[in-house]
Amino acid sequence: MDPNFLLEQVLNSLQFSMLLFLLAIGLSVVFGLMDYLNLAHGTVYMLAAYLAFSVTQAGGSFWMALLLAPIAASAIGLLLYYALLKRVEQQGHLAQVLLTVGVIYMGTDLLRIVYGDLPKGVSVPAFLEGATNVLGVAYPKYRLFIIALGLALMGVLYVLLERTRLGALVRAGVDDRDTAETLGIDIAKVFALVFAIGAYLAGLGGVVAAPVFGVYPGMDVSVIILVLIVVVVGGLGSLGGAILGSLLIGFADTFGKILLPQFAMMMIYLVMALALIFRPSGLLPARRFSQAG
Amino acid sequence: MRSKLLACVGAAAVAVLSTPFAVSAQTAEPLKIGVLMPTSGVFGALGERQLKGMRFAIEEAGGEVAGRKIELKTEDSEGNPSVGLQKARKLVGADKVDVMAGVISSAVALAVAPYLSGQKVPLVISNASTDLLSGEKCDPFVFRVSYSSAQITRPIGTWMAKNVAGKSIYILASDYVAPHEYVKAFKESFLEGGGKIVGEAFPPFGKTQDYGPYLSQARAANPGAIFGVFFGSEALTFVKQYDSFGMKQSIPLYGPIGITPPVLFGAQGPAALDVISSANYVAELEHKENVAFRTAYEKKFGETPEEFAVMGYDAIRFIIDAVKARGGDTKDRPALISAIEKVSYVGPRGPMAMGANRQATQNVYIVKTVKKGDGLGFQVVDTIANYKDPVTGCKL
Repeated sequence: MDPNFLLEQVLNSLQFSMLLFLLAIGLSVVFGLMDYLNLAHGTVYMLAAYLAFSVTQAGGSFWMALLLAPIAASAIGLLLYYALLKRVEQQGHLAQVLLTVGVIYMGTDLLRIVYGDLPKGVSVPAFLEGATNVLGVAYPKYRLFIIALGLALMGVLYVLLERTRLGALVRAGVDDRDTAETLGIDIAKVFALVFAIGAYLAGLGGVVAAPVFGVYPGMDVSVIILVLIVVVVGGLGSLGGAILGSLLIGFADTFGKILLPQFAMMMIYLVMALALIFRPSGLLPARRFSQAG
Repeated sequence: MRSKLLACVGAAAVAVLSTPFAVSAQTAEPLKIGVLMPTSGVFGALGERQLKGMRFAIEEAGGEVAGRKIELKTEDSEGNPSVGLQKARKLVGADKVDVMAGVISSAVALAVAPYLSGQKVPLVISNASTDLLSGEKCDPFVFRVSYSSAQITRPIGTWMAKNVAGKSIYILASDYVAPHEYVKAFKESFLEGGGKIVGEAFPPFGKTQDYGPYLSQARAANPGAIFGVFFGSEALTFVKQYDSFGMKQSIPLYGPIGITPPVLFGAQGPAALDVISSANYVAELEHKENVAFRTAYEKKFGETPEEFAVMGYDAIRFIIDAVKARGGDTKDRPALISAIEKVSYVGPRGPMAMGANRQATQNVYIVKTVKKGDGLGFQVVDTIANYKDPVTGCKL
């Protein structure tokens, strides 16, 4: 393979991995911490993309959309959690899946009523338009921005989860909720915070993805399945798992498309199948889940 | 003198007798046109636009034809063949429609066509494009005023073989039935013209967010152009990502008009600039029939007409003109379908006529997306006049 072509595809893989990561981390930690399978996570992603469209449509800049839309989407996500999702918290995964799939349908239809069926576009700031030269490869600047943003967020989340008191509380809650509660940690509060941060990151993913993937009804469903695969492969409840899973699936998706174009989707499922056979609890799950597996 | 008079009277009598006798009996009875159209779901927006064009055609005719008031009976096919068939039965059985029009999805069209043919209810299709409908599965009662896949893609294949640098191209198309049919017809004419295809890929439909890997691969193959077939949100995503790779100068993008349709201009923005596509209508056509149509349409709806509205308009116009030629009679179905066959006029799209395989003969335009005022518009770069449907295999 020509090295320039390889470099370009590695960049494509990284870019896609970063977008997957933004969605996967929230889903994974919420699942890990509360054992809650929230498929409506994707709806927050879509909502933020539409809000970003509204902000830019109203004359705001892309940066303003990047600042405001994830916060708004996160607030709505949290509201949704307290108003609705919390009700089936104790009723197992099936009830959670049914309820959150219902939320997906309702969210899609509501957005369709407000914004119509036609896909919308969000423009990137002028200085991120077009391509730039990376070691002899003309590569879109905006995609480089996504890679940089993803790496930066991985760093921030690492510090937050591994080096702060809040992070210690989250990890304690994920590993052994009962003991953590016995020790006086208000897990419900920690969870609300984690939920809000997860929704914020999904929202951020939605805004960042909008200029590349477009904004349209159903954009959540097309990505949430991949994100679930990322979580399964990476393992539940851990930052490392989300990072590793995103990278594996991002690379498998990109290189599957080039190497086996007839079976483009197969590569991803192959990675998932291998993970399930050899590491059923995922590659880097939080401690509690690795023991369970 | 006397014999001459007799001959005149005789001729008049024949004329009177041969004008459908039903006219007077039917004057009060409205002409019911059943319309099968998705008005909800993914194709809902397309259906709404076609209905606008249809209502416009009725209004233009003054709401009546040969003394019969025109009524539209609309049913939502939901883009689903079994729902479509059920709704067609309802329109024919319960609503007693005289003719049918519409149908966006080819699957729905293939499902309802045999039923309508059996009931001897003519159907004038306004969108569904599968070549089967004017090829192997053609039917005396099923007409199409929109285009067959081959009719809209073969011309641009021929055109690209003449105009693309090095005559070499790379094909990228969504992986489902319609784009495959487009690509097949395109390849035939492009290869006939001496073109060379250096590679092709079919990204999974509805599951591909990132076209980057495909675009990188296409660029590495170093073609003179890309021929892309994507529709709706995929067209938006594909064209924007294509643009971001900065290869517009070196590897221009071509496709059917669905790749940069006017309804996506706002969303695609400058990314759609300079893309060349094949169309059977753009609002920018300047012949007097279209100028009049465009002005009246803009006045009525406050928006510029686009191809879907116009194809809806033409479906109803064919029906109205045929019923007019029959003096209002729709009971004699064989006579009605031969009247539809004979309809011809110059409309918003240019000259229209019905081909022998019941696919309309029409102009195909090669258009380029250009800047127009604050937004985008089309510039017609070539016209293939009165282009007959190239689909073969129809035996009536």
